[in-house]
Amino acid sequence: MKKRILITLAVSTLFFTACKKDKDSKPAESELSFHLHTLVGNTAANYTDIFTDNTERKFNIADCRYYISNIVLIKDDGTEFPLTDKALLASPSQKEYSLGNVPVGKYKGFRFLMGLDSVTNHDDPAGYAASNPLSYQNPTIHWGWNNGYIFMEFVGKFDSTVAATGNPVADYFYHIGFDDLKRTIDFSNSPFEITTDAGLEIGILFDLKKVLNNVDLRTEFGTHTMDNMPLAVKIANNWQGAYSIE
Amino acid sequence: MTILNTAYQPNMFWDGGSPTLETQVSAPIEAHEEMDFNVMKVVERLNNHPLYPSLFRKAYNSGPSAFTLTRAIANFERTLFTGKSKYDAFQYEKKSDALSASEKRGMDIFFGERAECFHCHGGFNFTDFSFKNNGLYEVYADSGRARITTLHDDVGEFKVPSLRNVALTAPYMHDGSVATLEDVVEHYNSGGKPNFNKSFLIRPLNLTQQEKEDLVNFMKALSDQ
Ligand code: HEC
Repeated sequence: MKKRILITLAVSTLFFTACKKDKDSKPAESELSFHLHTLVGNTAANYTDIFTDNTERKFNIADCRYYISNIVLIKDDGTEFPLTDKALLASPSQKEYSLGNVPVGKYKGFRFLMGLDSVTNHDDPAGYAASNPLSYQNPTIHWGWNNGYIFMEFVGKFDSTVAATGNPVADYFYHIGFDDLKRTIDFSNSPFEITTDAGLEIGILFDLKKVLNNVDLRTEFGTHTMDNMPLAVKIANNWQGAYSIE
Repeated sequence: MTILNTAYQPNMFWDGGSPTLETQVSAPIEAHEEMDFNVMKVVERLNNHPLYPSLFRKAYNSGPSAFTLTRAIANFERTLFTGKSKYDAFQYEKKSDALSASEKRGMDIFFGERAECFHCHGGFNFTDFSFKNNGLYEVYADSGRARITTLHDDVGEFKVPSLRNVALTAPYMHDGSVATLEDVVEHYNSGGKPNFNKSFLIRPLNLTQQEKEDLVNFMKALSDQ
């Protein structure tokens, strides 16, 4: 009896080795990931800390989450390698975001969307496995009224005193969503190379202080996008400038 | 607006914001003025319930999840049908005495070129599912369809509601601002308020008192018996 199991095992090992061989004949791949820091200026955007905006006004952060999607790698010869079906829900508490295996080689750069394309944006969140960032989240980052996602949720408290001498006690809330507000973040001139020996981490910084560029917290303290479109547009237009490569 | 016959709706809500009955489920769960809750918390509650997990497994071969929850509610809604009104007996069962004389006169007004109601409230659900401005306000607090499309041309346009069981679903219009069917008829008879998006079909009708009553009686004959 024991022998028979052994034989079956041997045969199946052979079978799997054969399969593996088959896979090896495909172009070599290695794991790529984003190492993404959500910052305020130079400091990590921890929910327990108090920060100052561009006018030295104090604020804190209660919730900051944002979608990154449609990541496209640009190979050295200009051809593009899109990472399909990959959306990330980024937040300050997480830094590692695996993008899976990609072909080894030299790349000119990459780009991605801050937000979601219009098809993904209006898909049914219940259709995704609970582990997928596009599934219903708690707290929610999706709107039921238009069946669309919030691309960036950025809320907390700020010091609303005129002289900016108080404490962060007043609410600010930026719920930025809507097809037109997705923004392409372009790093097409940031070369990198992926080799077989080790995976690659691309270090990316996202600075919330820059997201608040030219935003006066005292008068521009809130938008759910549709109720204050100019402010939502202003914040979305700050996204590209808030990103940099580490 | 009734949820009966909602299976026929090409999209959900007065502004058409949600494409299916499945995606619609999350909106009332999350809306601050409704449940102010969260889909995943509902799923958690269902999973902790003594009965629901086994019922879900029976129906879907898997326990409560965002997927099975939204499918279960949507499929329940698809079973809510109506089609047993006096009007249906008259129109589809050909019972000529099912409607009173006043209701029949009201029907002629409703489907006539003078009142024009049927152009928007047509078909067996009494709606063509389009978005229209019926001149309720000069300036709308709720931008209606434009909230979804952001188009200026859609400001103050709302989905034409079904009129089945309408006598049972007062108050009326997207904001419930019109109390009775009599008031609705007064609104249409007046031609509504001026609005840059108002449909050309909405204009003064000059209905007599009797005609107004007949029109209301006809709408009351759309209730299931
Ligand atoms: C141009 C298209 C159009 C025409 C013509 C029209 N309606 Fe309407 N009707 C609507 C729309 C759109 C609404 C919802 C408006 C809103 O909520 O702001 C509505 C709402 C109603 C409601 C309220 C239903 C509810 O559930 O709240 C009733 C009743 C009604 N109409 C009856 C009539 C009658 C009777 C006529 C004919 C005199 C008529 N309508 C003509 C488009 C139309």
